[in-house]
Amino acid sequence: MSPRSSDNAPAPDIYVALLWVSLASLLTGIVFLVQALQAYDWKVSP
Amino acid sequence: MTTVGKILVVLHLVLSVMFMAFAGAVFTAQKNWRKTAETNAAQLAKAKAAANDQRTEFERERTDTAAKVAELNDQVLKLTGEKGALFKQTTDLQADNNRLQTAIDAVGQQAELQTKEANERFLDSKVQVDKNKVAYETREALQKRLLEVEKRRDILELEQNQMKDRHERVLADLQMFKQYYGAKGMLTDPKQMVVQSSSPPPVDGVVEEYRKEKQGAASTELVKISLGSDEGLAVGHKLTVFNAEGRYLGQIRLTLVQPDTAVGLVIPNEKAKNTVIKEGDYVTTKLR
Repeated sequence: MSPRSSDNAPAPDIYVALLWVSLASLLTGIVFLVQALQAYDWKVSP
Repeated sequence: MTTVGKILVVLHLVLSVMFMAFAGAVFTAQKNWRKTAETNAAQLAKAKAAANDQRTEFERERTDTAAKVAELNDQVLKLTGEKGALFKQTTDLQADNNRLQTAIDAVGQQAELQTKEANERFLDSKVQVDKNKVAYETREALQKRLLEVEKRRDILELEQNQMKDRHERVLADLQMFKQYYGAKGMLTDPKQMVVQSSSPPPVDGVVEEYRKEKQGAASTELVKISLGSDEGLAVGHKLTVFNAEGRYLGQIRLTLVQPDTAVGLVIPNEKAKNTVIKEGDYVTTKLR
């Protein structure tokens, strides 16, 4: 992939925004699961 | 962007949102089973400890209960014996109770009688109180009367003393008069005066003895006659003496009188001259 110039850079569209929202959702889900694992001291099996 | 890229972006978005939702649901709705298990384990250990304690306590109580049962059995035996003794004692006490009840009845009857007697005595005492009141009033009146009588007695004693003094003076005067009249040859004895003033009974007698006694220049002639107080004669009476021929010999005045005899003194002025009185002459009170 060749670097693009600022003049040729595509303008952000709605799909980029959706990707950012997807990233935020993944990070939020990861935080929830991390907190749940902390309740068990990161021990999955007894 | 290609259509496939757009679809993958949207699909990626949907799956990311679903992952977030699933993770959030897990985080919010999850239950900490570990903590629950630890809590349950702790409760179980505690319950086991409590069960062990209760078992130990139960064993101890069972041992104690067995000991108590044995002790109670001993007590039952002992109490059974005591029950027999108490039953016998109860029988004896019942007999004593019957005897005491009889005694109580007797005492009750006696008490009733004593109560009646006390009531009677109370009534008697009331009567006696009334009598005492009357007696007290009577005593008060008698005391007043006694005071009056004592006052009167004092007055009378004073009068008696005055009369006694007067009596002594009168006696002294009388003694003086007796001495005076005796010196004059007059009677001083009131009895002789009465006899002399009274008439002797009409009796006749005989001269039993004649005696003439001389006392110095004067002489006294005494005549004993056969008459006495049985015939009614008394000292002081005058009798006439005469002989068998009826001749007057004189008069005598009786000085000593006995029941069947008397002695008289010849009155000198009344004696006949040249006559002699002798035994066998007669005396009479019929001549005056």
